[in-house]
Amino acid sequence: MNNRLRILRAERGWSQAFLADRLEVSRQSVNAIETGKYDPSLPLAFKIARLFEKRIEEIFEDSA
Amino acid sequence: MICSGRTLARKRYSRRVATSMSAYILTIGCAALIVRHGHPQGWHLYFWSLLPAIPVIWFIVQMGRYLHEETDEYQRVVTVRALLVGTGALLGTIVVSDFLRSFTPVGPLPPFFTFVLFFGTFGIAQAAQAMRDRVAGDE
Repeated sequence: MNNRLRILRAERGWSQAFLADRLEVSRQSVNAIETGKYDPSLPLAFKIARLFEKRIEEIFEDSA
Repeated sequence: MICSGRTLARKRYSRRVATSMSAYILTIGCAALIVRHGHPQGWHLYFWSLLPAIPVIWFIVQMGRYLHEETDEYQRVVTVRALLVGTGALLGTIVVSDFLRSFTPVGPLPPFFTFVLFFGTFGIAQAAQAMRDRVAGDE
């Protein structure tokens, strides 16, 4: 699954550590999601969407 | 909750593992000393033989407890992957050993080999994932 997390984070000038803190996950988790090594669960995807005030499909897109 | 890159569940797990391992070293030392020099018989012998197994079993319980308590889903996935690698290595080795023992003159695996194999491969799998996830500075 592709995502725009890195772009959205960069637009706000947030560090991975800051985003991780806001999401209450580890920095490794943010990095794994950004690099596409890990697809977040639905609750975490909703949390990310709420934080960036966007819809889930505006952040994550199905690569199939 | 996350503190300095490590979750609270991870910190609790590390503390419990350290306690289990300390208890293991203590019990294996006592058991070896008493069985070798005290020559216990009957149920005493069984008691001292099985005593070091308790901290090891406790350690395995702590792994399950960690997976239950971990709130960071990615960290949980990393641990589960490492457990699968350890379990796969362990089961694969046992199957190979059992077939060799059944059809060839090869003897059984040395004592505690499977224990070391499981935790060794589990540790390597965790380290490999940590290396892969390591970021050279924040991007």
